[in-house]
Amino acid sequence: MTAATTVMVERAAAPAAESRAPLRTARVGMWLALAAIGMLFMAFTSSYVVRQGLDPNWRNLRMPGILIANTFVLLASSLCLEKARRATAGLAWLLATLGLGVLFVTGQFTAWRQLGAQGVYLSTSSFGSFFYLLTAAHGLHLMGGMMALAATAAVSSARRLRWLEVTALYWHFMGALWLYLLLLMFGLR
Amino acid sequence: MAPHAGHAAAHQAPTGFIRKWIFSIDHKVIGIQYLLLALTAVNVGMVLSIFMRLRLAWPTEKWPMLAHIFPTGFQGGPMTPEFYLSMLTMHGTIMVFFVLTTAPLSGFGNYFLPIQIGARDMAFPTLNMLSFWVTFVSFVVMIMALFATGGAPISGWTAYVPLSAVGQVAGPGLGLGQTLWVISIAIFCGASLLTALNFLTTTLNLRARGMTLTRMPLTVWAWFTTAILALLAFPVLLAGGVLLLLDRVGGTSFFIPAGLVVSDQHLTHSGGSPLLWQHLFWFFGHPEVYIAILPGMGVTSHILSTFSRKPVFAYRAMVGAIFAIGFISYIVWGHHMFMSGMSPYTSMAFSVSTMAVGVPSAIKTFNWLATLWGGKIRFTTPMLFSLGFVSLFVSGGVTGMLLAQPAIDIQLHDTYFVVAHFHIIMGVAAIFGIFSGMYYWFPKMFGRMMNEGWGKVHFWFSLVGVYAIFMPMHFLGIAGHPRRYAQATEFQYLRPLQPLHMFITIAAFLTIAAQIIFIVNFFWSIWKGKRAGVNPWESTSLEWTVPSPPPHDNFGDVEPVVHHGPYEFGVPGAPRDFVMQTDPPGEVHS
Repeated sequence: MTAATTVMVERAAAPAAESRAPLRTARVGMWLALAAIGMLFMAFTSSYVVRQGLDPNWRNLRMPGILIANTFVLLASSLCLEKARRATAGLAWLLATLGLGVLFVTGQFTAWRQLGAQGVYLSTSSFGSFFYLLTAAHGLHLMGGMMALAATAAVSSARRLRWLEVTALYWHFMGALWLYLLLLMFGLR
Repeated sequence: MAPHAGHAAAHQAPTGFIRKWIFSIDHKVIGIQYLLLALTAVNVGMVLSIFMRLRLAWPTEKWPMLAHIFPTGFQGGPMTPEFYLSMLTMHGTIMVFFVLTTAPLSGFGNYFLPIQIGARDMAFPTLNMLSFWVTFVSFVVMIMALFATGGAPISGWTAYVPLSAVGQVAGPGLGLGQTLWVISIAIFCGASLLTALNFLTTTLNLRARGMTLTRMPLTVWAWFTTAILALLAFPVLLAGGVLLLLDRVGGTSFFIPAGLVVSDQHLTHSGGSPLLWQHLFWFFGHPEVYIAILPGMGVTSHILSTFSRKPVFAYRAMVGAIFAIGFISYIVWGHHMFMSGMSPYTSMAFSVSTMAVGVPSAIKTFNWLATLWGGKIRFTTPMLFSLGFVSLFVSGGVTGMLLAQPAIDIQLHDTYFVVAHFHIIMGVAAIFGIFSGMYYWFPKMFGRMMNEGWGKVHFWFSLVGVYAIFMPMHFLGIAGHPRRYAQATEFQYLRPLQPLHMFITIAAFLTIAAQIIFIVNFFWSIWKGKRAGVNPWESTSLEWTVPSPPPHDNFGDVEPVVHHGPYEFGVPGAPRDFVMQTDPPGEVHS
């Protein structure tokens, strides 16, 4: 009986605060968030496939050339983030990741403007609708990631390393998602 | 927001009114906020159903008082069919999203999931607060849709395209009202995702020492499974909502086919697929009905065991059945679309998978009966509502088996038979689950008992009432009465059914009146009810080891350690007829 009481009070001092939530908890939460985001893009994908199959006037557009450069920018940003995650003081690498993120978003805007100059808008063609939809949905999620990275850059370096464990998951997922979208829209005809 | 270093609790108890009751990060306050939101929503939804029932029973009445409040809905005559449709749409939407999703999962789940697994709060308390307030914003936008210029949307809670996609040209309420509807639903999806993520992380990572998976109460298993369903289903509805919004305001044609002529106008859209919306919607929609009912199953299992003073029969089979129902819910959505011209082979696949739901459902039902068998049953109000849940679950489930067969469904599709089926199983069965949870947990939440006598009166009026409302609807459906029609008397073959409509309306009014008993009992008991002890029902799970209401960090200075399963009633050699989950192990088996 006394032994049980001791066990019961033993862990009374264990903190379980949100901002100090164990890394494991935060990581599980992030994986679940990625599962939900994955389902969102799965739903977009099935819509894409269904619409492509049903629309006799469906025509894939040529890929705007800048998307190739953008892809490399995003891959490079993931590499920088890995550097930041593994370094003891990775602030510079983290800021580089953020800079490359800004470059990617700017590049996506440029791609939109190039398409616009060719007369391709959201409602012009079925493929165009999906192109704008998928790039915008990906871009918005990526910008959310950039806000998280900016917050990560702002905290103390001890905390930063723990935060990076979680934000890096998200960022790499966004990179993989971008490759997948490229493949979906331009790889599979 | 960040806790002070060295403080032992999850987060310090807030002192100001706003941080304590409005923008609280305490899961218990958030749970009550969700329940109050659902209580508000259910009253709005109920009022809308009164309008519908008035129109159906007395289609030519002019109701001057109501016409005074809603001049556009009457326009000097009887209620317009468009107004009826908007009431129908908003009733369904508000009930499904803001009552049946909000109360059982977000309400009770928020309050009791952390306590039942021995956690001090959710894994992400701030996110939890955000979930509630985003849900609240979603509700406000939905109420705006109800009062939008041009009327509330009339496309039903399923918002079938192209009706819901083409805009004002298709009729009243399909302009601003429908746009607000889509926005509200999209916001709701986001909030539900956050809730689901929090529930899952909490259950996976914050269980107290000794709280192994097989010691989790079935309520926790039910909320956990429901959260998985929500996490994977709501993103699909969100995707559908985004596409629908783009079709409405962005000029795209995801859902709108070519060559559509609406109200004598030729639309310029081309290439869209109306069926795509149905697939996206029902891929969400079918898991959604289990999101509404699974928490009720968990609560029922918990309560039947507690008041039979017997362990739940076949605990592991119950857990397996919950998971099986959750899994199957993802492969049955096509049974909502048998009329859409799908291939008979596809129909058959969906039909077989749908009927397969009957297997885990039967496992649950028989296990509930076996739990009752030979028990020392205590007929408390929560017990009565749980028994009512079983009754309604069987009544509604049996008709599901009929509708699962394409040959029968093609006859009954879009008739009152379907209305009867889903109201019994996902509407009132889930509501009975909510009531039984409310009567059961009220003493824990507010420190006082609800009045038992009035609770029983409430139960009997509700049980007889809901059967009186929804049983006759089966006959309407078999007689070929289509749903969503504002008036049956205009059709010769439906005219003889009019007395049945009047009967249903009167039954509905009496049942709604009986709910006043609950509301009065609820608020009276908060302040005047008999004081409740720590464990008034002699229950076993962790929430009954802490004061009523529990302190801010649930367990104070004691870290709970679990030594027993959740349903150890009538254990031979134990000093009492129940063993709390935290009772030390030696005391019982010596």
